Amino acid sequence: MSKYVPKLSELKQEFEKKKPALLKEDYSGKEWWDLPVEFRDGNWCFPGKPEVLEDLGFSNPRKWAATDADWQLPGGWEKTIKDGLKSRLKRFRSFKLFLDTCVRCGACADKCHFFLGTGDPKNMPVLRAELIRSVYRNDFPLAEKILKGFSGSRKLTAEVIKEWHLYFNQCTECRRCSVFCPMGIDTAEITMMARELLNLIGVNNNWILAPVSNCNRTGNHLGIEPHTFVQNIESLVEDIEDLTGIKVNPTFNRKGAEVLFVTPSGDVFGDPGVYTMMGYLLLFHHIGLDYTISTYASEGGNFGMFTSNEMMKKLNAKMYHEAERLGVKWILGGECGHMWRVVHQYMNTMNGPADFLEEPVSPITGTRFSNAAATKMVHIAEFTADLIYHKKLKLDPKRNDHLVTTFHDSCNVARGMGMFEEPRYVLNNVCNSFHEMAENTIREQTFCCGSGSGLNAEEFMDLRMRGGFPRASAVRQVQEKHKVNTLVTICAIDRASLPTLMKYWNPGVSVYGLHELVGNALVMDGENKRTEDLRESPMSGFGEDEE
Amino acid sequence: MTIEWGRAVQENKKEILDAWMRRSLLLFSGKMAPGSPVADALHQALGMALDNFEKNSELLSEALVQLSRILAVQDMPPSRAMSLFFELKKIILELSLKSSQKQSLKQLDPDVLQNRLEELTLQAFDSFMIQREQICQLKLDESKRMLFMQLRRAEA
Repeated sequence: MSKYVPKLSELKQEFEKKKPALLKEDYSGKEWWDLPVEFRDGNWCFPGKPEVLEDLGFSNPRKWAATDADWQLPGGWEKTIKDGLKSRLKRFRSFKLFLDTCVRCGACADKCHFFLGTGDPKNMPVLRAELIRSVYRNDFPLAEKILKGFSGSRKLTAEVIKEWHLYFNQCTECRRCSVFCPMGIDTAEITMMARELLNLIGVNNNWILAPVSNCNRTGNHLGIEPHTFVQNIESLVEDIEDLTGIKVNPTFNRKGAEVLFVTPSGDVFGDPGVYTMMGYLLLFHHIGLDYTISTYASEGGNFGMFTSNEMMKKLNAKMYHEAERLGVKWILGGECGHMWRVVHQYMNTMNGPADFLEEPVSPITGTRFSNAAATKMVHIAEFTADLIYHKKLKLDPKRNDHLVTTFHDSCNVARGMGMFEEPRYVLNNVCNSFHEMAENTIREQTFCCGSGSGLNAEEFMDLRMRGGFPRASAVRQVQEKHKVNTLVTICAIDRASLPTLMKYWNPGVSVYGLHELVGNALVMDGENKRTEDLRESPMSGFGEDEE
Repeated sequence: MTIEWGRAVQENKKEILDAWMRRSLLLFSGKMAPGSPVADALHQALGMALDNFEKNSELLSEALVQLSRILAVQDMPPSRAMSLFFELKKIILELSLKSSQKQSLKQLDPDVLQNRLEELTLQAFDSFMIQREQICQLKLDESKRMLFMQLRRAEA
């Protein structure tokens, strides 16, 4: 039922409480934790289904909802949380450092897209971290234990758990705040720890845990089984042949291939990801790459990152196990966001070193990707940029003249691995019209789509639209100024969520993967005359009657 | 008469807009800062609505769409969102009583203002509900996109 069909009693209560003026209750003189925690339809994600938790062996499977008064927390949950916190403070020096060093300067406050979109003070990264820091102070640092009351500490209660659940699920772990923190605090890692602690007592999000469970079982988020995975790609192969007359020949689970290609499974089942997949397939055919696709490591994304370190490690490991089993030399990774943060920042200490693989060398250009010496995994944007730089691709950027583009830096690729130039270099070579958004909304300062880190749930739509507003606002500026109609991105969650965001805030702007534009621009040997792009939309100036 | 109210609103636009903006920000659940992207967009939409206050036009409809797009995804029911227009009435009437300089406002018929604001409120409510419908449609479209290949196969 819609959120705007309230019960009569609720309406009456609200009218009584809020009339006659708009002014709300006065919280001046009260502590921040006195601000009420209110779950309403649209601001919370459905919890993990009991069968999903049972599949994963996770704690406290049950049916519940965030709007319930009693969350059915397991007996002794306070001890579980405190022991969990203690253990993580010991295991993760960064976590302890981040809790101890914040000086509450507020530099991060207005950098969070959720704070900018909601105005809720608890969405200021400093205050969101304080939700957990206040409990930490109550029980851990000696001086603050003694100076209770002065140190901003509080006891762990069921209300605190509700508050954690509400606000640590209004952080997309995008790390924009950390760019501005003079102490280098990574609030995303605090969120990761908080969500890990909440999972210990069965407080969770089904949009995260269902993909984790599927990935754990079948190797990808949607739970597509190997034969269906192959059929989907073969179907795209047929589409490519219909459009271009070219028959591309991807191989699956082929031992001895030079390269294992791993991409988010959204590229194999979802719109518009499938068009990006078609772009990859055309590219690999164009350069004659010796590659294979695994139907077991059939997912680049890693929702384990939003669950626990152990789950992140396990899901990441499957790519490397497959690479070893198939005997490839190195891994080529598709357009994904958090896959790259996991690979770039955590993989080497979790599952590395991947000594059974070789330092990646492009078989086409001979370029050695020494930046991937540890992970043995190369990002498709840098691989393609290298091909273009060495003039190995025959491109006709005019084929994208129907698209006036701008580029959305995906948080995890931009801030997680510092990749800014390569996608822009590719984009500028495959289309003729590219316009940057405002400086403080791109590159390392990029704004999140508002749906990352497993918050892309439909029941969370209202908050996603609010959290994504700063990004949409920046797109709107270039839409009005340059008539931009295309938002290009290199992340599967962006490709899934930004079309919705654009349709709501900026109608007329469509979302594309970078390699979809590459696929449009590639001039293939022996191809039919192209009049349509990979979406079967007419290309400007390439109609049947136009030469 | 509505045209005269429209002219009077234009003459006092800055004061009315500032006051309306201040009160609008109070609608939000937390502390929406005046310089934030949401507040900027809200300011633009409110200003546009005041500019086109006197009669219905495409620009007025666009202003109401922009306004309702922001309001429709906030943590508030439609009644609370629409109370924004009741505040506008108060602001204009308060202004008309405040000083002798506002003679132009004093001389105008408040019933005409009341009628115009009621009309605007109802239009804004329609627009608000269209945005809510849009949210439902977006949820459906997103689910379909996620299952694109499965649906395609099922339809084949």
